[in-house]
Amino acid sequence: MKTQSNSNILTKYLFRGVFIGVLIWILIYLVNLDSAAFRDTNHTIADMFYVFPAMWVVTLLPVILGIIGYGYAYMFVKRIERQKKYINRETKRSETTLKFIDDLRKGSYDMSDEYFDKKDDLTVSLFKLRDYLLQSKKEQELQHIEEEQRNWVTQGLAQFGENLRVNTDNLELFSYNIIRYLVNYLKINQGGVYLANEQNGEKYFELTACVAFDRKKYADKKINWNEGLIGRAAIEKQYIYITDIPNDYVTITSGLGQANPKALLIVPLLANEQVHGVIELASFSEFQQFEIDFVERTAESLASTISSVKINMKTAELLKDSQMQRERMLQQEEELRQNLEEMRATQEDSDRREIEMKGILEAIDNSSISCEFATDGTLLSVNQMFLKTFKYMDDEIEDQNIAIFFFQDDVENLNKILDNLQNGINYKGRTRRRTKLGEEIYLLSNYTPVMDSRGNIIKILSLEMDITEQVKMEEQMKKSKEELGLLLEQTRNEVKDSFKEMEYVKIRNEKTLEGALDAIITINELGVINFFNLAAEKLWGYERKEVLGQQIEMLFALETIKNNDFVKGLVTDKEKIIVGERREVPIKNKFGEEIPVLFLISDAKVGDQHSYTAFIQNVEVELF
Amino acid sequence: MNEIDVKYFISELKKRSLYDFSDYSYKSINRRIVGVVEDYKLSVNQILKQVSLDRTFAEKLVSDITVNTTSFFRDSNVWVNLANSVYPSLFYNDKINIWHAGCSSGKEVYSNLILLSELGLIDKVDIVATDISKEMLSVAKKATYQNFYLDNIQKQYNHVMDNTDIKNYNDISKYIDEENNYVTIKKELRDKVKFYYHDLVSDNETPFFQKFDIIFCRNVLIYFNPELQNKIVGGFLKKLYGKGFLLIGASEQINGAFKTRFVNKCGVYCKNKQSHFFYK
Repeated sequence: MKTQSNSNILTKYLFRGVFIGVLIWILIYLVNLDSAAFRDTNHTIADMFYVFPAMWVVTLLPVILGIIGYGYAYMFVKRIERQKKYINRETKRSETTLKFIDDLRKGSYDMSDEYFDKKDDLTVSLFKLRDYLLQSKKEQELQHIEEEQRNWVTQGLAQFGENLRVNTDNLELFSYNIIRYLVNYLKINQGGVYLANEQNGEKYFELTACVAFDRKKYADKKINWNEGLIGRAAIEKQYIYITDIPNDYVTITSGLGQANPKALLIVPLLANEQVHGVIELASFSEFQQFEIDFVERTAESLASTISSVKINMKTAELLKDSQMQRERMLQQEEELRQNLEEMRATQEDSDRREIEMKGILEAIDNSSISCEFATDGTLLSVNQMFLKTFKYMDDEIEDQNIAIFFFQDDVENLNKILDNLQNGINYKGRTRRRTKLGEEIYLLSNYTPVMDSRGNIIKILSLEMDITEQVKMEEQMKKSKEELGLLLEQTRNEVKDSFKEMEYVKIRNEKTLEGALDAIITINELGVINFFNLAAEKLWGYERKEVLGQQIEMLFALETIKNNDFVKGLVTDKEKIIVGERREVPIKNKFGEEIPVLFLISDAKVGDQHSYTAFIQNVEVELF
Repeated sequence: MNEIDVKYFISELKKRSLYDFSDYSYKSINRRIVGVVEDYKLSVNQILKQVSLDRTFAEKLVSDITVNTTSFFRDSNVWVNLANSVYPSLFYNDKINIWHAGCSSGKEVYSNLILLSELGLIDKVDIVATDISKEMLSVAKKATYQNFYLDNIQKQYNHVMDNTDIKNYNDISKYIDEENNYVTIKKELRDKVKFYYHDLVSDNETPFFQKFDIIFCRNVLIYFNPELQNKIVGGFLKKLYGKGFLLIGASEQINGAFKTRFVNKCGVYCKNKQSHFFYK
């Protein structure tokens, strides 16, 4: 088509040249024909060429113009072709450019330099654009990451702040919450809080809370102020970050085993340039810088919170102390008052006793010879009775030894007593004493050592009573007693002889009575049987030992005692005993049989005592 | 307050509350009542009126009037003596009956229980404690005390124990719980004591019938006049077994009619079986 149109243009312009040449020839021919000169001559056409030689040129004009037209058209066509080619090329380039831009839009930046056939300004600037876009994208991404980290930190700090506000009264729980939160938020494995503490002027760190520490190993772990990494972090006031951890430094233990952490971060808790403690964090993965920064920032606010908590605690403690102090003061005041009261009451009680004591002492002073002397016998004090007894004047006995109140031959005895007293043994007994005038007197003495609170003997208290008269009387009595004794012996022998005689008479009488045919019974005033002879045994059938000491009533029937006056008199105390009259009365023998007998009672009076003797004869005559 | 007022106060108090202070040592009770009335900042009649209306007020008043000074292992010599001579003599008894008359806040009772526990006699003892003040009795039952330096139990306990024949004694912490400056006697000891209200002065029978091996009545008699002291000692005598012990305060003595019924052995009075004077 292109070629067709090109040849068309060529043909068109060829013909247009030929046509214009023909047109011009005709025109010139006609103009020539019409010219007066020519018309006047009547010349033929041939003549015209003669007249106007230029007619030849004009006749040739269509050819010339055709050639010119063709040639011109040819030039034009050539140019068009060239233009076309150019346009094509441009179109292709813009397509590539569009694709490039599309690619950029789609986000692929990895085009090579051969993307375009030819390098020109556009492509260079396109590539520049690409590079710029690439860079800005990278920057954007970086910014995004930073933004995220910032968010993470901000969120972390906010939550951390939340944690800081609760449980601030219990440092242990508080630090546990903090470290647990840190470990969780950082997604690490192990952490511990060491708080600075001071005891007896010695500073140290104490592991107050930990997460995932080996409990047994780390409970109550104390670290000196400048010991180890913890100490170093505290001294340098700078965090320590270690990725190359010594094998035995710390291990993370779980149920499945234990391993060394990969990274260790030790951050001092700094507030106002003062170290309040140290946080130690261990992780299997390395810490990022922003994480370290985050920990540092949390450490800072933790430190200031701890510092304020400590201050609060101290204030609370002080407040409590002062309240306690107040309470204590009140209590003490009351106690003091009560103690005072007790002391007063005690004092009064002892005052009362003292008065009583005074009375007792006065009584002793008035009634006994009393003196006090040292353990070696030196007199310390004496009372008036003492002076009166020994007939000394008070100034005469000053600083004297008590030995002067003893006779020479008793001094040895006195020394023995003094020795005993020195050993705390008191003395009680009779002492022979010497008055100033050399008279012999006897005293009942009581020497008592007086001790002080530590048991040392300070003096000896002597209380004595004059028993001289008593002693003299005793001596007198002793003498009389001896005389009496002789007399008594004599009398005793006489009495013994008469007793023997009496006994003899008694036996003789009893033998006589025993041998009598009549039954004979003796009773005393109370009706007790004293004597029961052989005949009586036969009559009653009782043996003597069954009857002696028994009441007489056992020998009569009850009926007889009631009805018979004689028996009644004999048996009962109230009735009088009929004496000197012979009566017939029934008696009851051992077997309960009643036997009539003749009874005669005689009364024998010895002093105030009556003794009755009954003579009994059997009335029944045995037939033989 | 003058003398008449105090007498009037005592007689009115007796009518209204059955607390009888009339035989208390005059000077002492006078000081106490005057002091308490001043502290209350009320007139005598107001106080008396309040006493008839409010029982707890009466209790408070009585505990303020009476002196309640006591401390753990007070007068260490007494405790050493108890540990070394009194309790060993009761060692073979099946049962040891003890009465703390006027136990106040109970420190003496618990000191005694701690000592008995150290001696291994704790299972044999039967302890009763009485006091005139119900308020003090409730303190004694609770057995929680402020642990001030004035009242340093630990020190006093160790001091006593060091002087006794007991070797390797337990730490005091076996018997007490310490918390915030307060000490509490452990429950095992608290449950051993029976606390009763009893007024030594009144003629009322004691709220128990048994006789005792030991009666503690330390620093109580000094507040009474001699007649009342005598009467109370007579009461103790009836309540003691033969050879029973009566412990009175370090500064107290038994005087009067019952003096000869006791033998004083280093501050511990031992009941004398015979009624005649005892010569060593």
